[in-house]
Amino acid sequence: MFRMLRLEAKRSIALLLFLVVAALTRVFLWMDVQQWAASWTPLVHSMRGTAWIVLPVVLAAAIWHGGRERRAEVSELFAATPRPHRVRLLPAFLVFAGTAALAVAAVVGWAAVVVAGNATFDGGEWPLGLAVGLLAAVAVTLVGLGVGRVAPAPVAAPLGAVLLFLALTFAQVRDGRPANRLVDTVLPMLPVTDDFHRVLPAFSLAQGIWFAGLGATGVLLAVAVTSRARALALAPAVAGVALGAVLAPSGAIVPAPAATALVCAPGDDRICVTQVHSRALQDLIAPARKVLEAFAEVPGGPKRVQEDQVSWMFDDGRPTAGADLDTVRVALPYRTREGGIRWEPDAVLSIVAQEATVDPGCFDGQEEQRRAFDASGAITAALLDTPTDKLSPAARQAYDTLRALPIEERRRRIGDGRRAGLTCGDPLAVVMGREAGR
Amino acid sequence: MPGTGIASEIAPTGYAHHIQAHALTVRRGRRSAVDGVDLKLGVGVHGLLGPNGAGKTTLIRTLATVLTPHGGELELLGSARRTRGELRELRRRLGYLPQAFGHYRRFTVREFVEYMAWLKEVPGRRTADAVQHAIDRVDLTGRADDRMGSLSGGMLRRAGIAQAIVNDPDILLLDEPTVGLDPAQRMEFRALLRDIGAQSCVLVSTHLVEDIGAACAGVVLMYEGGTVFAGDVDRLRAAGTDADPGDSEIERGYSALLRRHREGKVGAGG
Repeated sequence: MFRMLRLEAKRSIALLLFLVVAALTRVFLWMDVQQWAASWTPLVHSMRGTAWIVLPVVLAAAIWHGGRERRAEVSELFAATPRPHRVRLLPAFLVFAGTAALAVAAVVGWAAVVVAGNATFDGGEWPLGLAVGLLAAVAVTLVGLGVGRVAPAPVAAPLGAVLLFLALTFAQVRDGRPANRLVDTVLPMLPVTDDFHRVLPAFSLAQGIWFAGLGATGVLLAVAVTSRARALALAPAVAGVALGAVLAPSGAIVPAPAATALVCAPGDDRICVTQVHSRALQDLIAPARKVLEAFAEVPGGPKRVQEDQVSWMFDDGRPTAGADLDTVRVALPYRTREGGIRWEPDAVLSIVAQEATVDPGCFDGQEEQRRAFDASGAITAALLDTPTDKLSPAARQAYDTLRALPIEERRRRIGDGRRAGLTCGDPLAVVMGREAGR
Repeated sequence: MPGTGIASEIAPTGYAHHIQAHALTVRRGRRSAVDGVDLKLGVGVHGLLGPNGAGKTTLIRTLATVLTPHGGELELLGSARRTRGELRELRRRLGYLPQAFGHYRRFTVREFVEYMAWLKEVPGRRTADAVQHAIDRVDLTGRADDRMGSLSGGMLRRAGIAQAIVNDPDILLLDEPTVGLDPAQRMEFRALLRDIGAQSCVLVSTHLVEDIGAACAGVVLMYEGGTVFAGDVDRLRAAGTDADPGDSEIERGYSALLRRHREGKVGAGG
C-alpha cells in the first residue's frame, strides 16, 4: 500500500495540487496579515476565508483525478482484477485528501507560529476552527473524486471549479441580510469576526458534522456502481447539512469578554487596553499621558485613555446615547512589519489626540466631517505643539485664532470645541468663536 | 521465475479443464453475442478465430469475469460458483489483455506493471521479482523505466502482455495481442506464448491465422456467437481443400469450415 501511495503521489497531479494550494493559501493569508498576525480568531477567519479561492482549485484537481480511470480506459482491465475497487481507490483518496489538507496545514502552521509569537489572548477555540477548515478541504477533495468517477468528462473539472467559485462568491454576499443559519453552516468561510469576538465551538461542531457528511458522500459516490447507489450516496451530505443546521447556534460569532477585558498601565489605571491587544499598552502609555497632561488644565478635559472595547465591525454593545467625555476611546488596529507588530509613536499620538477631540461617527456629511477634523487638528496643534505644516487653511486659521487667545480663554475654547466635536456639534465654529459650546 | 511461485503452483488442480463451458450464452443488449457455446480448454495455447462480430471479444470478456453469463454453465479453474470471495480468488489466477489496452501514460512500464501486480494481489514480497520477470519476458527490459506514454504501439502491446502475466496466471486471456507487433516481435511473442502455455491455459483471440499455426495447439472457431469448430490445429489444416480461398493450409481450413457452416445453416433453413 505504501508503494502505491508513493506511486499515486509521484505520478498524479497531487504534487502540483500541493504547490498550488499552498501558494494560494500563503498569498491570500499574507494579504490579510495585518488582521490576524497577533490574534487567533482573525487567523481562523482569514484561513477559512481562503476557501473561497482554494476549494474550487481542490475540487477541480480531485474531479480530474477521479475521472482518470475512465479517461485512460483502464476500467475494463481493472475490472478483471481481484482487488476490490474501493481498496483500489484508497491510495487516491489518501493522497489527494492528504495533499489538500497538508498544503493548507503547512501554511496555517507557519501562520500559527507568527500568531503564537504575538498573541496575548488565547480563547482556546482556534484549533477547532482551523480543524473545520481542514475538514472542509478534505471533504471537497473526496466529493471531487466522487464526482470525477461519475462524470469523467474533461470539462467536468473546470466546470466544477467555476460553479463552486460562483456559489461561494454569491453565497457570502449578504447585502445587509441577517445571518442565515443554514448558509453559515454550509459555507466553508466564516461570518465576519474580529479580535473581540469568538467562533462558538457549537458552530464549529455543526460545520464539522456537515463537512463529515459531505466527505462521506464523496467516498460513497466514488465507490457507487449503480444509479441507486449514487442517489443513496447523497444521503450523508443531506443528513449532515440538516443536522448541522439544526445544531448550529443562531449566532456563530459572539463577543469574547475575556478578550476585551481591560489591562491597565502599571500604577496608572487611567491608561488601559484590551487583553487581546495588551501588546499595544507600552506603545500607548507615552502618547496617552502626553494627551492627558495637555488636557489637564482644559475644562471638562478627558481623565482616561482606553482602547475602545467595541468593534467597529459590529454594533453590539455600543452605547447609543450620551458620550463619555471623561474617557478617550481609541481603536488600536495592529500594524505588522516583517512579521512583528509595532505602532508608530506619532501615529498613536495622532490617534489619541483625534479621538480626544472628535467623534467621527457624529458626522455623516463630507463637509461636516472636514470641519470637525480641521477643529481637531487645530486643537491638537495648539495644545500639544505638534507640527502645523500639514494643517488645512481652515484648520490653520482656527489654530491661529486659538493661539491669539489668552491662555485661560484658549483652554475654555478648546474645552468647548472638544465637547462640540464629541457631541455632534460644530467644533470649528466653536473654536473660531462663532458659536458657543454646548 | 526464481522464487516467485504463486497461487497456481501451490493450488490443488482438481479439475480436468481450466475452462469448461456448456451452452454458454451472453447477451449484449437484445442480441446473444455468445450463443450456446460449448468449450473445454486445458493447459496449452488455444487460438480463438472468427470473423468480426463472431463473439470472440464477448467470450473473452466473459472468461475474464468482466461480463456475467446470462445462460449455460461456465467453470473456470474447476469452480462454477461465483461468490465474492471465489471470484476474487479466481481473478488472482487470471491474466487478461483486453482488445483496447488502457493505461496510465504518466506511469513508467515498471510502475504500471507493478500497479497491476498490486491490483492482482501478488504478494508484496514477490512483487519486485514478478514485475522484473514479466518485463524481461516481453523484452521491455531496456524500456522499463520509460513512461507508458512514450512507447510505440508494439511496445505498448508488450507492456500489456507483461501486466497480463505478472501474476503468473493459470488462465491467460489475450484479445488481439499481436496488433502493432512487427514480424520479429510476433515471432518472439509466439515463443513466449508457447512458454506460458506449457503450464497455463492460454486463449488468444486473433485475426492472424499464421499466429495460430505457429503458436497454438488447439483452435476454437466462432461464427455469429456459436462455435463452428473446436479441435487441434492439424484438424483445422485438414479441413480445407485447394479449392478453398487462402494462402496457407490454416487459412483454407478456416475458410472451408466457415463456408460449410454457412451452407449448413442455409440448408437447414431451406
